[in-house]
Amino acid sequence: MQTMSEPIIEVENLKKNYGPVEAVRGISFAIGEGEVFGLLGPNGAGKTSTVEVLEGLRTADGGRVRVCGLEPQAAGEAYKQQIGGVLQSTALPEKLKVSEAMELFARFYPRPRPTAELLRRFQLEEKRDAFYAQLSGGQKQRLALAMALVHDPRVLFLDEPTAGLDAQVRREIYGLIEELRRERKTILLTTHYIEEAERLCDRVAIIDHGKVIALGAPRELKQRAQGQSRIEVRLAQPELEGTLLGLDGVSECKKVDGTYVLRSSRPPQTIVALVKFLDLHGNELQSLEMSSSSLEDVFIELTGRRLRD
Amino acid sequence: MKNTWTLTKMRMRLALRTRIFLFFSLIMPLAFLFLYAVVFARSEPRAVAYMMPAVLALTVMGSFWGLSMQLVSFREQGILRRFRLAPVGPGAMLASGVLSNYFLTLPTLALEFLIAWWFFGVKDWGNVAGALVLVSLGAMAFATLGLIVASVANTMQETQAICNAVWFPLLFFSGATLPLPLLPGWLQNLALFLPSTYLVTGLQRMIVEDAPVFSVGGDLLALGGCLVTCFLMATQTFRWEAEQKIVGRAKLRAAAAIIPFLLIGGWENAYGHRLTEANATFQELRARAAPQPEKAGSTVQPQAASGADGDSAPAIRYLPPSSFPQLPPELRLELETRGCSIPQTFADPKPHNVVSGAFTAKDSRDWAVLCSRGGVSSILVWNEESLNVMELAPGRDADSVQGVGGDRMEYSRLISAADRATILKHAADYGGPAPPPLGHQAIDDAFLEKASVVHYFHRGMWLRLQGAD
Repeated sequence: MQTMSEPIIEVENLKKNYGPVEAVRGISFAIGEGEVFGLLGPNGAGKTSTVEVLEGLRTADGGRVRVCGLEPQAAGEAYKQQIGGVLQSTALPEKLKVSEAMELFARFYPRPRPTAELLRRFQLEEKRDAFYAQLSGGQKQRLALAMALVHDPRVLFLDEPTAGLDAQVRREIYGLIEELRRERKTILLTTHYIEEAERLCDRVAIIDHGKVIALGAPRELKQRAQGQSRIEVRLAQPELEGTLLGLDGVSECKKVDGTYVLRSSRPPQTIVALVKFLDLHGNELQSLEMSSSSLEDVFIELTGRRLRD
Repeated sequence: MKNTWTLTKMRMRLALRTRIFLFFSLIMPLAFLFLYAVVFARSEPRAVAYMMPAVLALTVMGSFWGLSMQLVSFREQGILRRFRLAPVGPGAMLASGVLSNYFLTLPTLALEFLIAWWFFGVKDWGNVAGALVLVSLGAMAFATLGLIVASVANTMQETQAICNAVWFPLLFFSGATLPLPLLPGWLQNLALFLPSTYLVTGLQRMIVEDAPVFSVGGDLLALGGCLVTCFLMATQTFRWEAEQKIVGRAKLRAAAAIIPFLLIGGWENAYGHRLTEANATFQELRARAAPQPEKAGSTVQPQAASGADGDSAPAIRYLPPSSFPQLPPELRLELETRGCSIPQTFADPKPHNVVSGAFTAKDSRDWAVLCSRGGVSSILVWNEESLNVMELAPGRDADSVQGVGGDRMEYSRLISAADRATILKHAADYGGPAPPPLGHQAIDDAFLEKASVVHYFHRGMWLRLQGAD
């Protein structure tokens, strides 16, 4: 439960163009203090552009943006002291040591946290004298996170924090973010990983082609997919969607990228019926995947496309 | 301020960890020093001293390579982007680059001085403090030039291309490699538009001629102006993001940083004496080193006197009129037109043999200059009001030379103002003709530690009165 008296982040009808390309076409949302908010969407949906406008790195071409009551671009240094961010790709000088990087950024702020403590928390203590170039991807990301927190910001922006990292490292990062969540830090996180959004966020805005197509707590959104299981099948020969719809328990059938996505309230019965059907028609089942409903379902339902690329 | 200092320290630390930096900032300049000193100057201390300005200039000029490449590299890699998220402004980023570069250059400069002093035996350093001021200003000015290059370039390749294009003229047309006097006249005029020219000629005047700092005011102004203009322009056009490409009109705006150079170059060409002086110093050096036949078409200054009997001339130190900033401009012009250089005695390292006083009438404002041309010196007396010049007491420079300790032969003719009391005392002590009523000063024309004669202007004539004996 949250009491959102005055939202700490307000985005109203945000627009951002890159030349003729409209990357953000009217996005609106509001985030309360202490909330972990996710922007979920495929690559190119406009998530990073939105976050960069909020961080003050880009100018909006339309709409209104307020963070901590300030306008990101105009407020200058006062604004930057309130926010922390992990960019989509962080780059630091190769020969800079980990401890030096922390110290350097700590010095930019009036009241920084002790860097040794942060390094310990993010398990970088052993690497404190290592050069930036010697760190693994996961270590670099942990460092980026530590650097973002060195001044105890009111708002934290995380742009695709686990992109390109292996599953193990990803889980480490999730653990760290969950810790921050327990500390009631306000976090805006962008991602194209459904698991991330479902697991970490209090509320999620699903973004596609520069617009918000759904907004709410993950649980609420998933209920829209009618709490049904999803069965994805690939067939040797194409069938009509209408035909598959007639199978036992199937409430919906959509063909997405050559895969048939069926919604079923009785998955085992559907599968049996499917196998019988295919056998009868001389068709073959190439692959079958079953999952309980997820935000991806919501996405597919709203857009007819997959979230993953 | 604090951010600038934090960043400066970080950049210095990073630079010291990069091997290629150590090569360019330490090994290369020292290699140049040895090349110049051994090959061009043939290890002769005075010639090495003449080469030092070029070596020092080369050491600091490279700054613009380093700064431009590093800034563009940081931008392209996305490093600047991360800094942008922090409360750090462009001013701190740029200033830290200039400062860190400067501090890192100092050890190399110190080493160069040390090597020249200890290894090559250069003892006569002229105005070292002034040279340090000038070279510091130069280092920072060239650093800011690098910042401008970084502000107009989009990629590393572009930066390299621009640096190469700018480096060549800076290097070859400014006297940093080939001495300026060896270039054809029109190229010398072109050189006046380059900041490196001001650095090299300014340093030459400090080191070779021991000029006081304010006499190179023009150089300090040129370099200081470069520093300020380039820095401000660089802050205005600073880009954090690699994607913010700079095009067309914006590039032109950044290139507006060269306008001061166009102005200074134009002014110097029209009104300046820089080229004359550079040529003079050069001639002087060659005269000192060994007597050589006068080059056809060489500009202003005469050589040391070579006796008609084929004696090799002693090395006499001459100064051009510009070494005397106290001279009224009309007199300076007069002296330069006549092709005067002022011989210096061994007794005083500071410029002398130019005196002012009342030599022609009571309360008149006159100047007496010992003017040497073609190995013959005479006293020129010039009046500030009438602008008249009188010439007296010609004598061969070679005749004014005496042995002082061992085999050294040193020039010994010294002129100074003599007042009434001195004249009367000489007359009393040494006899000689009775002086007329003395209404104004006279000129004491001395052969150091030997004898002197006193020239007194009386009723339109110069009388020779008794001096010391």
